[in-house]
Order: sequence, then structure tokens, then C-alpha cells
Amino acid sequence: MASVSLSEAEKVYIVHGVQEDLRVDGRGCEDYRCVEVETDVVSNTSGSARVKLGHTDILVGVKAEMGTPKLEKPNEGYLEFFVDCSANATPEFEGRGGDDLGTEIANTLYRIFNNKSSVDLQALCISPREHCWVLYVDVLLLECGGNLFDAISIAVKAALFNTRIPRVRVLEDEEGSKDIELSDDPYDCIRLSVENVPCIVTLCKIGCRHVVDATLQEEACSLASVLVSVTSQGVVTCMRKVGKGSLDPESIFEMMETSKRVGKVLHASLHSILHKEESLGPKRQKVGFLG
Amino acid sequence: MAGLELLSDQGYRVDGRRAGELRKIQARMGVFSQADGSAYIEQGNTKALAVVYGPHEIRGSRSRALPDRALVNCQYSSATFSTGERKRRPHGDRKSCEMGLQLRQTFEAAILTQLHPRSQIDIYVQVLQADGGTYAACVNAATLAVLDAGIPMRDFVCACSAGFVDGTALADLSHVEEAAGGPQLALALLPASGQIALLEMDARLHEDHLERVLEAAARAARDVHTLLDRVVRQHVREASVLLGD
Repeated sequence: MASVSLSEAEKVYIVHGVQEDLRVDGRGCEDYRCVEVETDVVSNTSGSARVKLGHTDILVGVKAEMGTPKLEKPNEGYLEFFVDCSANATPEFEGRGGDDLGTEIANTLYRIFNNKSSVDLQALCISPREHCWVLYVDVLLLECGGNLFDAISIAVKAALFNTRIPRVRVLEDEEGSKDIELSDDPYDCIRLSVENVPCIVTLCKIGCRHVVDATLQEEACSLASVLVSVTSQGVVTCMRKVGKGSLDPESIFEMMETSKRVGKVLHASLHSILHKEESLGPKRQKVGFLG
Repeated sequence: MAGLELLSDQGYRVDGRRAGELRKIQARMGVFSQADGSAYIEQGNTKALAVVYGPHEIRGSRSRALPDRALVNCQYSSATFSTGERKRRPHGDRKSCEMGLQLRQTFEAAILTQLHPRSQIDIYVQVLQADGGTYAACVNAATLAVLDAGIPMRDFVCACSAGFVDGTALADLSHVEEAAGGPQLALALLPASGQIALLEMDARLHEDHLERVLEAAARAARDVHTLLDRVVRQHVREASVLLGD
């Protein structure tokens, strides 16, 4: 993780401020920074999204390719995650330096999607045991300003919302050989339902209280964090504690309650923004990195 | 590709451009605030980001420090979703390493490294979408990023690719034209003096045609220079307005 060096005085200042529910930039303990989301940023992909959360910048591209279903789940397609921590974020990520963080984040993403309800995998099946859609979700970390997991999960959700998978038909010959036919209309595609896709809420323990959406400086002051992956209904799909310090069980329960509360609000705003962006139609002004 | 004419009888290319015409270029400096310098460029459908860190102390072994000039370190990385077929590894493969070395050679020619002895300048280029001319887009983005970082350079470095089809030299090739297999020339130019920082050519080309292709690439690179100059002036104007000058 990109590190920032803080003096003792700065740490004390942050910790005391958090006790009073006042953070360095004026937010309360449960407030997110301003999030900017834009979809359809890269045109080579089936779906893409860019999320800017304070100084954290994430770009996610989803590519749909045809593959064979896994042996233990012959009626379903699947998702593959890959996280690239690019050297843009910090020179420490040059070469293989960013691989550790990338694998950790990818494993967390696999964990949170590893349940039956997050994504409808049966919709990705074309013909059982033979063909299915494989969605390669590639996350590119461009700038690191704290709270990576939240930003990445928001970006993955927005990219999956934006994904358009071409509609295919399976034609069977008399001999029994199957042919896959792509529909003629390039706009004829299936969309994924992202109602149950979870988002990660990271809570950092600073002093006696916990904060949502910590900046790099606040992360340097906290000893332990809890990552909770929450769906829009407030269902928790995965929970993990990270960090060097230890937490007592009451604080973990408090943090889970906070994360459910904060997660519902986050999902509601994300849904409304994604639907608003989509209602602007294909003629909307695409800003990308130029704005 | 069977049946695909790279240059029609009326002189139009596959995407409707003329032989010497560039694709639309849009660029922006100062995209990321945490890096020392950053820039983003779009050349047609090719999108590239460049980020510069430095000059700072040498990371890793001190023995690599050069006593009289700065060390320029470049990394080229292209996102896994940047090409039509998904790439397995963003960087570390041979092509990325080679591109990194070419970028390093280009910028060592342009940056005034004598002013920063025993230090290191990192240039990281990320290709978000590849539609031909990735080297040129990377060099142009990196020039803007180095300028954004305030590192002194001899001159702009402007790059462009060129090809040769049916007796005509084409400037700024797109992916379709590159994939067709004809000769491709990549040129990085310092426009004010006309000096060439990097020249690379693939495939066979008769030496009689070389001058024409080189001339087309140089003219296109000078056009790119006009655009980049405009972007830099716009950025400086905006920055000085914010500072209240």
C-alpha cells in the first residue's frame, strides 16, 4: 500500500479529532468523500467504469469471452478477477512490486462474489457443460489515496451494471453438432442484474471510534480495520479483519452494524447515479480523464 | 485482410482520413495530484496515461547512481482490457520491456539530465486503449507529463507513426492499418531542431521510398507539436489564473 509518513503530533491530532466526530477534512465518522463514477470509459470492453474517491482513482474493464463451464458447476458461467496495481500510483509498484497488493485485493473480490446470489451466473450459461460466458473483470489501480477496497467494489459494481453481453443462439444440426450464432444487431445484448452485487465498506479503528472511508493519513493512524461486504438489502456476504492490531468483539459488532447502515445508503446513491447516467442515453458527453 | 482497401481510389483511408491526416488528438495535463507530473492523451481511439515521479533519490542500489547525470527509468504497461483480445499480463512481457527501453532512449535524449546528477526520474506510461500508434501516444503523453513535473527538457518530444501503401506514405496508423502487415515507421522528433530521438522501422521498404515515409512522419510529428504546445499553454494559463497572477 502506498505509505505516507506522519509525525506523532499529526497522529495525535487525527485521533483526538476522531474522538469528537470531526475529521481533518471536516467530515463526520460515517461520511464518505465525494465519489465520481463514470461508465463506458473504454470502448474495447464489454463494460467499464471509472471511480474517483478523493485521491483514489480506479478503472475497471469487463471483457466477456466464451469458455467452458467449470466441472462442478456445468450450468453456470463464472467471473475472473485480476487487479493490476500500476506504477502510476506509487513508484513502489513498479515491476512486480504491486503484485502482493493486487493478489490480496483479487482474493477479496473472489471471496465476496463467492455466493449464489451476487451475480446470476446461470444467465451466463449458453449450453450446459459446453459453452458459457466468462467475465474477466480487470481492475486497474491508478492512484492510491486511501480506502482502496471500497472504491474498487463500487467500480466493479458500476462496470458490471454497464456490461453488455452479446446475445447468442445455439443452432443444432441433424448430426448433433452445435453452432453458435451471434445476433445480427450489435445492440442486442443481455445485461446483468446488479441488485445483489455487494459493496465493501471498510471501517478503520482509530482510538475508540471507527471511521468510514479513511484517507491515507487516517489509515496510518489506525491499528486495525474491518472490511465488510454488504448488499443493498443490508445482507453481509463477507467479513475480514485486516491490520496489525487486535480488536475486541464488541467493537467488531458495532462496526458491522455501522457498515450495514452505511452500506445501504451507499448502494442507494450508487443505484440512483447509475440509472441517471443511463437515462442520459448514448448521446451523453463522455468526459473520462479529460474533464 | 481480404477485401479491405487501406487506401481507396479517391485517396481515403479506412476511417475516412486523407493520407497525411492525423487522428483527433485531445490531451490534458495534471490529471493526478499525488504524482509529480501526469498527463493523458487521446489519439483517435488510442488512450494513454503518463505519470512522472522525480527527480528523486535513487531507489534500490546506490551503485546505479550516475555521478554526472540523472538516471531515467521508464516502464510501459498496457491494461489487460486495452486490446481487442484480452492480454494476460499488463507488463513484464518482452514487448513491454522493449517499449520501456525505447521510451528511455527517447527521453534520455531530450531531458537535461546533467542538471540532476545522482538522482532518478521515473516515467510510467499506461495504455488504456490500444488502437494503433501506441508508442507515439506514449511518447506524447510522457512529454506532457515531464513538462507538468517541471523537469527541464531540451525541446518537446513529438512522435508519430507512418506507413506506406500503394506508393503513398500514410501518417498516424490505426490498428487496422498496422495489422495489414505493411512497413511501419515510428519516429520521435525534437521539432525545433529537427533532430530525431528515435527511429524504428518494421518490415521491408525500398530505400527509395524511405525519404518520403520519413518526411510524412516528420510532418505529422510537427503537427502533433503544434497541438501539444497549445495544450501546455492552455494549462499554464489555467494555472496562473488559479494562482491569481
